[in-house]
Amino acid sequence: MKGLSRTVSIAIAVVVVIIIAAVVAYYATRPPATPTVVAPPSSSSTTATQSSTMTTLTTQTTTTTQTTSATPPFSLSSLLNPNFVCNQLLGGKTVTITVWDTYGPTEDQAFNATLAAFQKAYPCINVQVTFGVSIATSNFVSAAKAGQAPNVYRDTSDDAGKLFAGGLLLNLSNYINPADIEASYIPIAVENFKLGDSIYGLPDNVNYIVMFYNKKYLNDTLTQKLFGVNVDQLNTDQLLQVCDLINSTYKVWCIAYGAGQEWGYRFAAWFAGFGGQIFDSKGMPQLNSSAMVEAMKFWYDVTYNKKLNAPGVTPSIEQQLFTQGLAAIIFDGPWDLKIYEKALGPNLGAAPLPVVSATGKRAAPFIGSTGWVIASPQASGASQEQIYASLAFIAYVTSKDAEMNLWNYAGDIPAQKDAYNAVMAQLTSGALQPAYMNDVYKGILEQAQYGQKFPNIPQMGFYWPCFHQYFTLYFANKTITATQAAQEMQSCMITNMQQAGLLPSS
Amino acid sequence: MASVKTTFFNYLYILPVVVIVIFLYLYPIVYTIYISFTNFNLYHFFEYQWVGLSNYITILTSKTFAQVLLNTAIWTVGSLIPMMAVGFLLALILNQKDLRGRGVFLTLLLVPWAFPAFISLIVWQGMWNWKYGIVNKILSLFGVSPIDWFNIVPMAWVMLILTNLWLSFPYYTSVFLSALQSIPEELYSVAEIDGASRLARFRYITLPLMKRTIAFVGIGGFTFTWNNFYPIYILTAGGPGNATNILVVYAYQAAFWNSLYNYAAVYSVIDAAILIVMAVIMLKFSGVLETIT
Repeated sequence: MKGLSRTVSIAIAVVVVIIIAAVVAYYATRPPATPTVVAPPSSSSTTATQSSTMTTLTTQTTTTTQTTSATPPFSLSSLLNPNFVCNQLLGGKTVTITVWDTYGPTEDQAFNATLAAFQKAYPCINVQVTFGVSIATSNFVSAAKAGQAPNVYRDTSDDAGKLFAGGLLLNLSNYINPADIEASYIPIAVENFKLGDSIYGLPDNVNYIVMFYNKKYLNDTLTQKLFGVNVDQLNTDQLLQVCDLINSTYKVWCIAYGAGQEWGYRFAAWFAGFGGQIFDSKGMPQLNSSAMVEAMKFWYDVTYNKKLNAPGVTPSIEQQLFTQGLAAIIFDGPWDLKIYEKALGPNLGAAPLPVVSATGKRAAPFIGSTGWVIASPQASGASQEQIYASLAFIAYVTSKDAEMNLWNYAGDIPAQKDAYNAVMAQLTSGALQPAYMNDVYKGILEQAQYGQKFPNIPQMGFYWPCFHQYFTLYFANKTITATQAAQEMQSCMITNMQQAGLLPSS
Repeated sequence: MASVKTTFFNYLYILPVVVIVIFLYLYPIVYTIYISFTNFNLYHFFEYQWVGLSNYITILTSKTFAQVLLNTAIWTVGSLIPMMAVGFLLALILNQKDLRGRGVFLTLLLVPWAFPAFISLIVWQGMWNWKYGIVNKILSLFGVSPIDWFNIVPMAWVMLILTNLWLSFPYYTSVFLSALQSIPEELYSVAEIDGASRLARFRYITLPLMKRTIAFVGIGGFTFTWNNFYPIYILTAGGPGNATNILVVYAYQAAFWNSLYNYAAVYSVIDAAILIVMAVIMLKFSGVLETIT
């Protein structure tokens, strides 16, 4: 019995030692965190041909096969040429890449169509997609720490800016000719994915908020009669007068804007309208300003004193109020357009945010972008072939056809120039069906003239929690004054920037 | 010699457990402590340096830390007292042998447990909405004006504590009830024959015999509530401002909102240290450990 017991104990010890040895061996034989990717030449060495604008995928295939370079930086058109990618870049090998998809359900229909086309066109690239990943997810950082981030990820330009600053994303400027990128996408979208001189993502849309309104309560006829202007030319004084009228006539909320829950995305438009800017040119925060104080006071007054804005609402309650005809105005982006179109039909209107009467400036929302980025080899453990395959993938999913898919399925505004121009042509000719959507989209696109660049410097990451913390405290029954809130926001940002080692030297 | 050999082989038996404990328990703790002394954050992600005690000094001297620590104490004590009181009271009621429908009550007791807390909290979030929530609608029946639970600091605390009470009382009731049922019935019968009143029986039989259970549940409840993350994170996320923020939520926000992993680690270490010291003090003075061992 004693012998048996001893044998068992030795067996257990052996098993444990084998397991430990296996774990050690696994880590010892893993590819190094920084794989042996051939360092790309500097971006000054250009390829033989660079088309100034992208054309259709078919055209690119035929025009680039004879002139592409097999060393980076590549032209976008060469990456859109399956023959070049599969035979010259990947040497006939089949390469697997991992992709985290962050699209919503309707966008996923477009993405799936694009994905199927990609897999058919590039049989040498096997794409493993994880669907339903949250955008700006902390999981990406966790995976990157373990060297197991996905090869390709879709993110917002500002969140990806943080990741790029942390070294988690590939500098695309070293792999794709920057001039080619700038020629292929609309300028604001490229700027959104640019930090310094480096481009870290290819944009798949342009997004911003607009003022959606219910024409049953607010329309050009009414505003013309009252002020002699259309809805898109209203200033805040006029808007509040109309709101009074809507409240008293229809007994509904004029505005459904959950200011008390704000994180600063929508509020940034008003801050700009009151003359403020989040950062100065050196990257120092500028929240402690009279513009911030006035903008906060304005929304507090509209909400609690004038009672024109529904208080205590979350974004989902805002949507319920608007879609059920219980609120006349909502500030939201085209990503929710389908919901409003379905609920309001021809009563749906869209216009730019109003001019702030106190300053004469337009409320200017962030003109942001989402787009596709590639994890750095250190974050994903990618081989050179996987990097090249990833480049081909992101070029394809941000090509004209892919972005037209997103437009057709989900109404996303394209960032790719040819797709954008095609959409504009559709709108100009009034080709959209149902016909009333032409006006809605005109209103949406008009807003793009009055936006502001979405800051993507890493310090921007501190704007959201610092703004939220003190704006909500001010909105909480004025627990602190607007002046104190602005001071505390500024102080919070500076403290966080110091702690992160991101405070610019003066 | 044989004895040493036997002892050695006996230790080999527990080797798998030791290895698992090291990987699953000690490694995260040691790693957290380690990064709390570095400048590891999103912007120093792959290469970071040892910075000594500077992170600790920064946090311990910040006014935010003092506020969050005070909030944690308010949250813990403010939740624990009503949870234990309600749990004990309900247990006393349900311990009545002649109570009709006792089985129904016991089943209903499990309802808050049957739902995942995360879902319950999201439902509660809607219920507390000042305009559309059921709570204010019920209060309006009694002529109470709508209360903005999320945006008035004292009301936010009331909302959090009441929600936590709903989520937690089944546990306290169940534990107290099982302890009450373990008290021999004969003690009450003898006391009754001796003419002891209901209050006297409670004071001289129930309370003394429940003392250890109350102490045990109190200490367990204290440590659990101190680090109870979800109610605050889901309902207020520590807001408005930092007015309802507690250490564990603040640590999470430092990591995932601000990407300052080193500071999140410092908050976690300080949080754990405070909790360990308090738990040891409470265990020593309550004598719970002596009873268990």
